Amino acid sequence: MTDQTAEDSGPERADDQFAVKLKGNPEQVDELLRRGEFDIGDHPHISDNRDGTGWLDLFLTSRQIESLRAEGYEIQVSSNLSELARVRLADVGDGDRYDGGITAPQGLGRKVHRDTGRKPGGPTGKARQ
Amino acid sequence: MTFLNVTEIESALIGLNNAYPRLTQLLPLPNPTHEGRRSHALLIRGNPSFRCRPALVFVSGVHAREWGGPDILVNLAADLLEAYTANAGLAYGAKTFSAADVRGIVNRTDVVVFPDINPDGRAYSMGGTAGSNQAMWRKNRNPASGGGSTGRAGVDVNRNYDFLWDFQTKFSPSANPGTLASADPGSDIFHGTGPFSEPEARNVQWLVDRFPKARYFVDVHSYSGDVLYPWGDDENQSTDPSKSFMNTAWDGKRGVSGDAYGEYIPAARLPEVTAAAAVLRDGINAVRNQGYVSKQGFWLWSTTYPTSGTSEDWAFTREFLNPRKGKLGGFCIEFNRNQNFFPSWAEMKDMILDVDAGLVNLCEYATPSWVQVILCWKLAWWHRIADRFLTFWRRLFPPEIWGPYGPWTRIVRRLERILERFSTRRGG
Ligand SMILES: [Zn+2]
Repeated sequence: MTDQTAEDSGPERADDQFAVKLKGNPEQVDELLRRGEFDIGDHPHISDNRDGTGWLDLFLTSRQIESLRAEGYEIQVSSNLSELARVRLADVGDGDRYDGGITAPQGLGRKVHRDTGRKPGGPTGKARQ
Repeated sequence: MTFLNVTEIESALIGLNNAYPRLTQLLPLPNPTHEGRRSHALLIRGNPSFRCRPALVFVSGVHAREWGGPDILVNLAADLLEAYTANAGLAYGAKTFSAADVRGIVNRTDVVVFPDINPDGRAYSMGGTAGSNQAMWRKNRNPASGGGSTGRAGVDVNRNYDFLWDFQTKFSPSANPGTLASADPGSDIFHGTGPFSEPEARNVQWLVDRFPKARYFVDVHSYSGDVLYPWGDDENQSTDPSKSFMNTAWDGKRGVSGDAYGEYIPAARLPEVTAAAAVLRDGINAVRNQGYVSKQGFWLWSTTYPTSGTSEDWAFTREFLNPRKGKLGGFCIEFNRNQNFFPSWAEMKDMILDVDAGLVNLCEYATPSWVQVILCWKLAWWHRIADRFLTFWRRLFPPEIWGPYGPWTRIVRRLERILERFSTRRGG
């Protein structure tokens, strides 16, 4: 399997899980979930094709993809999620930016002060009222 | 900034408590995890004297691989505290809240955040060495239920709550076994050895129980772009109260759509629950129109996704088990519209704004109006007056003298009996 997103995350492993979309009808989806052997994410996601079929999100190993394709399922592979996760580990530090609580985090929401009005980027509210 | 690691989530809460000591309380959760970690929640309470304050309990981080949930809740707390202190409003993309909204939330509600329910699992998922596949770990790190075998460690904490936990007894054999829960420790949805067997679930239970006035409970997960509301075990119905999780007569019959059983939700309560889910959804979508949808957890497209032992269903049981405890709605947000548990930090920042807008929207929705505040004070005033009157009355007519067993009553009774005898003689 190839993956566009992963860079220097080491070699692909046999248990790597690929983010895939599998095409099926409701009965097939139900049956696949019943097997309990596939990683279906959290509350699973399905995009409806409006023709009685949908694309079910799954996280499958190469072997599972091959075996489901052999059963006749159409499967689109989006990415090697295990490999992507290994890349993302670089986005997790091992220090403590808040120093045990000596400093506090800053929120990402924009703080809108009264003199700027309620609309972000708008002219001063008071002068225009 | 990047994803918060397990240490930083705790430090962030302590840091916020240090920075805003008069607006916050750090709540130490009582149960250490299997690896001995101690967790905290943070309570934001601006005006302790207001007694009619509803509580909103927000939790996240239960599933280890769903990175970013704790960041969402830490950010929410920081935003509310910063904006309140600066007397400012909040803007998340196109969604804005006025300074008065923020003041109302902080002064008239309790906002409780417990960002990292499962720190052991998160530390494992985020601690993967090069070449490992640890990041995909979902459960906690309980080694015992799997007999100590590494491959069979862990419990899915979101199948461990006390809601139809014993799925083998409570559900129909035809209900989907791949989604309900599993008794196999090797499964990703292994439900543990008993309801609340896991310290992580017990911590959530302790926290929610600490807030009898909790009105909304939201568990933040990823991914799919859904806001889910109860029930998760079967389709909702409002006609037959006997078809309920509490009724053992329906054991073995739950979890299948289109049959005799549907989980009861009172007709007046359903619109309240769906309205709150819509408030979450609309707040999220107002930021940058991400197209989140709200729906009942049981449904999955044209098929079903029955579950047992999940947090939002358990939270929702409170009002059914004891109606005097008040209504508590349980919800689950599945953030992220993409098929990914590990977004880039740039993507995650956008999603933090999305979800926090939804949560602040719910806080604003739950904030008592001034009329309610005045009524609450008036009610408290009347209670005080009634209390004082009762104290005065009891002092004037002590029940030990004037009560049914007091001497005065005995004297009256004796007199009554004498009069009775007298009148009977006269009559005879
Ligand atoms: Zn989850």
